[in-house]
Amino acid sequence: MDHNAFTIKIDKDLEDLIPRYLENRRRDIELIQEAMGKSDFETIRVLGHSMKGSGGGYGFDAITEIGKLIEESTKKMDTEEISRQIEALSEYLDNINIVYE
Amino acid sequence: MRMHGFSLKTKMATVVSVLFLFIFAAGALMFESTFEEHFKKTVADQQFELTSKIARDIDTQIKEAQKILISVSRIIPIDDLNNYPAMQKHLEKIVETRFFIRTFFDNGILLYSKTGRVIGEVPYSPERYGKDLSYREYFQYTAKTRVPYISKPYRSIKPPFDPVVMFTVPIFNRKGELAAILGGSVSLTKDTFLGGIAKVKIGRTGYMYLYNADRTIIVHPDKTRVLQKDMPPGANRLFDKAINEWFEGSGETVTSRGLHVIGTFKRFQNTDWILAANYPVKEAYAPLLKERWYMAGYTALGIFLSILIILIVMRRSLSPLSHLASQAEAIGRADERLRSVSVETGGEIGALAFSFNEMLKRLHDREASLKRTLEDLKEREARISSIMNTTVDGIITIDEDRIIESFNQAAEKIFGYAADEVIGRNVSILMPDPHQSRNDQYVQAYLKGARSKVLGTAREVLGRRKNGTMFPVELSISEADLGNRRIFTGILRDITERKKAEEELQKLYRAVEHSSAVVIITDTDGAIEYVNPKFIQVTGYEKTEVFGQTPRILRSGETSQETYRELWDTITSGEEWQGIFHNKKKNGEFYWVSASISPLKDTSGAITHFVGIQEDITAIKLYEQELQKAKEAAESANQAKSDFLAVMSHEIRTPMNVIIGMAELMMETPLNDEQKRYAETLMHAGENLLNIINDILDISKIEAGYLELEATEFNLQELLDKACGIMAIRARDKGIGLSCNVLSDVPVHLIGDPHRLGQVILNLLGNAVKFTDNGEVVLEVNKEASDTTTLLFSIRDTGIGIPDDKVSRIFEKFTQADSSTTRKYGGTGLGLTISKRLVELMGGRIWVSSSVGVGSTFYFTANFQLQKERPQTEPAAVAAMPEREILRPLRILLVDDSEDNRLLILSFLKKTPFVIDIADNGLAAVEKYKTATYDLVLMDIQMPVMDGYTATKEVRDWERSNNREPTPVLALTAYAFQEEIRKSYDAGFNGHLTKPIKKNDLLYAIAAYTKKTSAHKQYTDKE
Repeated sequence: MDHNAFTIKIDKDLEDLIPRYLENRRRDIELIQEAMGKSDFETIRVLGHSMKGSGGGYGFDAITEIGKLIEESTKKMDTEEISRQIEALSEYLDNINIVYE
Repeated sequence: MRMHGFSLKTKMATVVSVLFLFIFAAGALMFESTFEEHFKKTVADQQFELTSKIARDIDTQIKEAQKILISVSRIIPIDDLNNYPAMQKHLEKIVETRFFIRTFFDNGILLYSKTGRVIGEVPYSPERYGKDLSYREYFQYTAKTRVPYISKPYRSIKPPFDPVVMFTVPIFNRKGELAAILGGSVSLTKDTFLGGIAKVKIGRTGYMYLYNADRTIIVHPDKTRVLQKDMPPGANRLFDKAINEWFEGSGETVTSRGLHVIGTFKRFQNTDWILAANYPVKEAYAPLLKERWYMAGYTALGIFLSILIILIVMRRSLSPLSHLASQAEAIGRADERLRSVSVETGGEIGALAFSFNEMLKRLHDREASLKRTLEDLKEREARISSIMNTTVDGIITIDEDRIIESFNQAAEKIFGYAADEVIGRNVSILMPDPHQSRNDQYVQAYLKGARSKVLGTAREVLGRRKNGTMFPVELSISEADLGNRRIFTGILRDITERKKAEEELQKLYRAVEHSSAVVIITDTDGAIEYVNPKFIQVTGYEKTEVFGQTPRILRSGETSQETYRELWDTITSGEEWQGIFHNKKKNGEFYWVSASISPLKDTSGAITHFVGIQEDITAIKLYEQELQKAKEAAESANQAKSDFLAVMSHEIRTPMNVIIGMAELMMETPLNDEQKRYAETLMHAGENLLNIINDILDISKIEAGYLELEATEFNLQELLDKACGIMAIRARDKGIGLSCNVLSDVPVHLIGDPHRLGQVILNLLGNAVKFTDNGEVVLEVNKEASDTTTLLFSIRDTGIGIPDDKVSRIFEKFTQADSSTTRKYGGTGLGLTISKRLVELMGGRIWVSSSVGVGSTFYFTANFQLQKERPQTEPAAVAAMPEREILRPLRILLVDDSEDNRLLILSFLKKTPFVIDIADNGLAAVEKYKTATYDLVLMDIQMPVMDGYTATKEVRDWERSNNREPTPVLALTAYAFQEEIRKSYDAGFNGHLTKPIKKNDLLYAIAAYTKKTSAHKQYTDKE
């Protein structure tokens, strides 16, 4: 994992929390996909909103950004954009390289 | 000279040829006309002869026919006149036996009774027998006149109804009475002696016809015209003439059918008939045309031969002359000179050649001498022209009519005209108007013999350039007599520069003369050569007294010898010396001068003179002395003022602090409500007074220039945290929001005066909070530009705003936007003035943009230096601040449905002594709140079961109903819209934190919103 673009510096204090946080995001992806199958945009919106509210706090500004876009897309019921953002999130989670300091 | 046009030979040949041409042509024409006349006469005569002969023949035959008819009438037996068959037989017998009767009277013989009835006819025609024809013209005429008659032509009533004429003779009985009439009918269209006329041909197309005086055509080749009267009078001239004037003969005429003919007419002797012949001119004169061609041919041949002969003769006799001419021409044209011409002939031409050679020799001699003269002339001209064109003076020649004849290069340069433009024009174009007429007068006067002074002597006049500008000219005019006429040469010099220099000099001279400074010029030994009037006025010496003297006469002995030595050393080395002398006037009075003495140098740099300019500064010297005294007095007064202020500051503040301190102490003693209120009022009034005194002292110090800024290292973030911390309390008390943001690229480790910066920020924030009742106050710090250490601070509020007309005065002393605001909001009105002065001291400026009812934004800039070495633990320094200072173990309720957020916040607060309870929805939070006492609640907005708004409202309701003090509740919201923020305040939130939450923001917010914490104390203690 030498993708510099995905190298994130995180406060050492948060080290214990990070794996669980990222695991929750992977679960979010599944939940969103599931909700899309049922056209349950409200669930997607809440998940996006919560990503928006938490990502930057941990140091993952990208997750906040993705969450924001997902939340906005649900208002327009833009499933295409939602899928794109899930993909972006998935790629981000796969390639992220965390440095604690 | 070349001979142009044709050679002599050609010319002569042409003239002779033309002459011959005329002679031949005239002869030919004469011959031609005579011949033609003769020819035409001959044709006419012949035709008349022919016609006459035919007419005579017919006349004879008519007579013969009548004779025959008469002889027949004699043998007709008169007795049988009433016996028709016998008579018919007689008649038939007579005709039978006399065949010639039928040759004349081809249309038959008729016998009429005396009453006009047909009683016999040969050939026999039974249907006509007995027919009464007495109406016939010929019958009536014959019966009446009893003489033979030839009838007018008429158309026969017997087939084939031919036109005929009837010959009649009367027959008498024995008593001599008319017994019968015998008639012989002649056809006019048959080939009889009459009808035969139509057959006669003249030439090929000519013909004959017969007509009578009634204009009736009797015989004509065109049978249809017989018996016609289709020749009206005027149609044919000669036809009419023949009828009316008995014309006989030939002539050219035009027929009724428009044919041009030779017409011939001949009258008959026995009748009124006229025989006419028409011969078309075209045919008749055809031989004439042929003859003309021959004539022209012969003439042309004759002329040609003549010219040929002439040319041959000419060539022979004129060739020597032409040889001579061509040689002469060659002489004229050739570069090398022919000595002579050679002509091998005697006579006149030989003599001519000899003379020509003589002439040539003389011509050659003359040419050589002319050439020498010309070369002389050319050389002289070149010399003159080189003078003319190299001289700097303009040279112009004019004739007596003032027309310019020459204009040299210098003149072109002076006037701006090219020579071509002015040559041939009147010289007046080079002069301004008044001179134009004056010049006319000069030249005219001169020409009249009254010698004008303008000639020969140089004088100054004005010239006019092509572009119309005037300029001074020095002009001298000379005259040259060329024999038949005179010319005038004008030599002129543009003296613009000289005049300017003179004027400049004059100006400088006047400046020196009228100068308010004393001016002295000496030679290199210091002997005075010039002094200006001011010198005389100041020193009292006359010019005559000082010329030749040195300026030493002015020495008073007060100026040191050192000064004079230095002066001389400076000016003799070529430099200017400036200094002050204490001099003595003629009357012994002393005076001060400020002198500047400088050497004057010539072009080689050698010093020729010294110029001294001195100003009498005695008065200034006296002022200076007075000023010095005044200054000393003022300085001591100012010192007194400063001392006074310092003393006042101390003397007032000390008792004020005592008053406030005592008030505070009193408040800690048991007091009843009234006493408590008095004590509070006393304390607040005291604090206000102290503030006012501080402000007044500040502004006094600033205005006196005593305020100097420190330059110490400080942390901007800390400073802002402190300032905002203080204001956050006031803001919360008023129920408005306050946020302070330092943008990420703003440097925080600065060198400057943190105390004064804090004072400005507190003042502006204080104002913002003071004048804002709803909404929020936001402080933001930005870099003014990306590459600068000048920072831009903005403090935005949603307060009452400032009216436009007050904005400009807001920074003035003791000014508030509205005097009513003073009553409502208090304050000295000095804060903004102090802020403005402080900002200016920090190298920045302050301004405001405001809108009444909407809010104001104050901006100011300030310049700082960056700290060279940044502290290693930068983020920690900031983050550690609240942690270190907050000692009290606060109890905090954290409400958030998101485990991620809960864990994050717990992690952020791990190192604090805070006790944290957790609720994962609004309802759980309300339950928890009712069972414990919290210092602070952190409440998420969007949650299942019960959202943050509802939960906060319930908390507030519960507090009210249980008489609890309101606990600060901070919203944790991912919404960042104003509307949401407003809604959160409505719901009872005290403030909000925007998610995602940063650790520092969280710690800061906790510190700011927890009342009576040590964090609060930290800000105020330092103040």
